[in-house]
Amino acid sequence: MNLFLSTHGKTFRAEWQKLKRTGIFWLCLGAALFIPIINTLVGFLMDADPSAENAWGSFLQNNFVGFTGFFFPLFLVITMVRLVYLEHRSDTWKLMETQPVARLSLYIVKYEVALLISLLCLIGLLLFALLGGAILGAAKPDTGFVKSSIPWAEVFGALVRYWIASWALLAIQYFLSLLIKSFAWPMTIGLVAIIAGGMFAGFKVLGWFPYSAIVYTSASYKGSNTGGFLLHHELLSLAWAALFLWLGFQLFIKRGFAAAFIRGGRQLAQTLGVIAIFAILFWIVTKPSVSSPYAKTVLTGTLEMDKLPGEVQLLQAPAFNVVMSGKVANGRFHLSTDNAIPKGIYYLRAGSVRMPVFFGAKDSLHVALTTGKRGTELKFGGTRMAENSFLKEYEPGTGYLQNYGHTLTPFEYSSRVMDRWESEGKEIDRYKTVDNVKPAEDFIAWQKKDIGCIFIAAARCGIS
Amino acid sequence: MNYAIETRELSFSFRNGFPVVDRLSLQVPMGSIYGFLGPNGAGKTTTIRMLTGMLLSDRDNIFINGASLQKSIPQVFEKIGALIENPSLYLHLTAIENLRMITTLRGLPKARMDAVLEIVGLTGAARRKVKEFSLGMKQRLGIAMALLPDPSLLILDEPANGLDPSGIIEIRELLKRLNSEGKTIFVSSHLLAEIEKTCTHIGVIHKGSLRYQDTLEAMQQTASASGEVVFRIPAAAERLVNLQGHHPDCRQVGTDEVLFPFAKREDVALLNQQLVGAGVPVEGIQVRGGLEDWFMRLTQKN
Repeated sequence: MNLFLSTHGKTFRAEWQKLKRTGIFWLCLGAALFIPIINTLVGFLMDADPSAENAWGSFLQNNFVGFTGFFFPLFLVITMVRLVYLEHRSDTWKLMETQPVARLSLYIVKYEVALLISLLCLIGLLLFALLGGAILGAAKPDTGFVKSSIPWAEVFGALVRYWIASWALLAIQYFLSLLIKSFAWPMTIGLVAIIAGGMFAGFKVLGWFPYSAIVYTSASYKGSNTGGFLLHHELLSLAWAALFLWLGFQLFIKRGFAAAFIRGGRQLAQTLGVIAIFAILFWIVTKPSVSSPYAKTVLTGTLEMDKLPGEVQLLQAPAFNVVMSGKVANGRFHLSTDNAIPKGIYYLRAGSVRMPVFFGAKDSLHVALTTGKRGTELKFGGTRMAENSFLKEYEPGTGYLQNYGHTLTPFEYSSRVMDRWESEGKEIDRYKTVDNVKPAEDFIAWQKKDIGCIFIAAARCGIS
Repeated sequence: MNYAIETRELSFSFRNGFPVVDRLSLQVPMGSIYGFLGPNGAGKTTTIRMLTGMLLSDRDNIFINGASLQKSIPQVFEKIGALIENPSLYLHLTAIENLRMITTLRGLPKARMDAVLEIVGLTGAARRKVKEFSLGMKQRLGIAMALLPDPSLLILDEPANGLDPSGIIEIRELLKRLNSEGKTIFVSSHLLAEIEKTCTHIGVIHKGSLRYQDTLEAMQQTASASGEVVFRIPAAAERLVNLQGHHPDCRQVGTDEVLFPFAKREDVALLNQQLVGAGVPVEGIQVRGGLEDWFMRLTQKN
């Protein structure tokens, strides 16, 4: 370890020197420049969006999401494969292995260089996006860049999370590049995996697939709702990276798949042991959590509105009688009750705003309510965060029945209603928030029954 | 005696179980130029890969300057410069950039780069990309890379490979000069003449095992002393059984020719006397000897 510490800085600098004339820096520059140029051009050609809350926020988000969907993972794959192929092409591994530096240092330094390049690319993207926004703001004042401020915390948070989401991809590509001594095959595998990862994320299946992590970061660009920093797919990216870095190191020092992993009882036991540790980590990270009931019934929140109301009320349908109420002070409110109020949909009223929330006895819910150009937005925290997030995002798939129900026979109609009901029930079962929190069973049962009501209502519309 | 390299019954087999290196006990004296001679496929590169820790020996049986290689990797490379098979160079970089990378990695003074470039005669090509180099230039740059840390031990695998005659002479002179500065040089080759002109000590490897190991003088004496003699004897085939009764090593090599190996020059005259005395009509004698014949005999045995 002493040798590693004493030589690692020099090994890193030497590895960095190898990048000269590889084209990686130009590729990094081009990759970081491409999407901001397109978005800036689009900004010039399109009319400004009057409903945009923050021109900088949405412009930067568009750049990050646009870049990381495909180009960023592709850039990472090319970079990692290129870094390893540098050694394969001239068989310079043997030159490196006869240097007085720790093998771990020789191995890990390539990954570190790839991580640094990945970070530089994201920073480059941010700088070019800022430049694009500044140009747009100066040339087209109606775009709103001048009036809005740059959401630094949000954009830096996203940048770091994108970077961490890239760790798994880089580690797996490193492993593949060591295993397969060619340029084309690790590239091809990486490209196929990127496309597959994008599709899996689109269909919300196989959320653990390491090549999906960057796409999931895009889907949760604004980060955690619970105040945490890394989301579960980013933590999973770290776990994948740890596993594949270990596997890659075994391959690096033992030279060959069989010698590294399966030849000899001890080697096999070691491999299985590490995979078992990873499986435990994987289970811990991917297992969704479910909020437990609280000791009291509390509803707190913050209000960001042009005109703050004096009071906030929780109303119960259908008669909208007041279940809880409390004063608003400095944009904050705190409601509580000792009554055993049943679980279900209530309405939170703050001035002219009335929004549905799922709530009940022994729940502690925090609501952040904001009204702006895009209407009212709610963010939830507390024991019913996942349930209310689901309700916020949920849109029943009743459109076909409403529009074309009259063309179906009674049997076809009832079959379609049943299919949709089952399918949406499964969707609730699969639902998780960006913080990997699942709705509680009582909500799932309640929501499945509610979907039944929604489809019965849809049936009436469709038949009439 | 202090050895720069010592191996004790070093063996290595690939997965098929075929021994590539078989109980090899090398003794490379400090300050020597040790020529590791063997035909292609004899096991030279595998041995060198083991000496540099690139192939791992199951046993602790390689010693560099008296210390176990297994226990001193990678610190042992502080004082070892190695060139294994083809020179390992980053083709997209210039010569000086290749050297700078190793200088950075080892924390060496930058002045070493110019010094080694001058030693190998590449000062003028320092800023040219390596992919534009000829094979000879790459070979010299590979040696320059090995010389960067000013090693006490140089391990060079076929450094004259692919070089033209003037390049071979340059490398030969370079090795002698480095040796005169106190460096021990372990150099492998399949060219007997090259080894004979450069080395102070010789080890001959064939089919993974060491067939001979001694100083150059001792080898020359052995090679010139021993050899083969071909007697021209009419109707050799008819007499062969009788001859083999007295000389089991002899064999028919032509219609009227019988070959007898000998260990000492004096044995040729004695053999002739015996044959003539036994009534065998000897019509001619041809003595085969010298270094090449000796080497061929050594590497043709199983």
